[in-house]
Amino acid sequence: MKNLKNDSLCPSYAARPGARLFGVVNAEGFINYLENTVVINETFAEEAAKGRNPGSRFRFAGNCARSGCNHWDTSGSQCGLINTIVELVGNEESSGLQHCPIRSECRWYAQKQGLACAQCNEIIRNIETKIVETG
Amino acid sequence: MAKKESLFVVSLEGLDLSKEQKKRIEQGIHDLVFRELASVDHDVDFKIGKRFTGKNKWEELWKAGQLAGFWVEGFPDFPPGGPVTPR
Repeated sequence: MKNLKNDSLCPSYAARPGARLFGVVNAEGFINYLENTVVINETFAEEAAKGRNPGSRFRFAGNCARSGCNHWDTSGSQCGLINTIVELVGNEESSGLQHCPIRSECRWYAQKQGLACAQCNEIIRNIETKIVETG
Repeated sequence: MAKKESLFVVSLEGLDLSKEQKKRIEQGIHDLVFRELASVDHDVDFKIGKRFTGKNKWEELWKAGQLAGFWVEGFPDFPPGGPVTPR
């Protein structure tokens, strides 16, 4: 595990002013990563709230709250969310990493390196999933 | 050089603008950009959901629901007593 800095960024942050927009959900349902993050303001938050859940359309990063977050694993002093996601999504680490403007500060990358990136592209905050096929 | 279509540059160099005018222009540009950006929506819930079709056992959906607040259309309530295997 790489050094976990106290000021790491949570890549599953809410759409609130000051958050850093780093990805947009594309037509295929994956994330288009911005070249550089955009710090959103009140205008963005207000406008985004008028449409579908911003968490279903964008990805934001913000300061990791560590023990102030429900996902924080106090026993391991790390983010428990990415551990669960790795288990749940189960993508294998690819040989090449996609561009990501927050990787160097990302909490998930610090914990899981490329394995976190392999899952990240399929993570959408609070998505409303419609399962249309069964079996 | 190829034009970067998503890179916008507005230069008002040479104009004698006051500090307040520059501030208002910058704020106006920010607001315009953010309004447009905030409206982006590819509405792909359906496609996202399809990616879970290989893992759609109740137990896995249950975990997913606990993880990220998934809502499964047609199944508004998870069965009492925990996940069960659908027939």
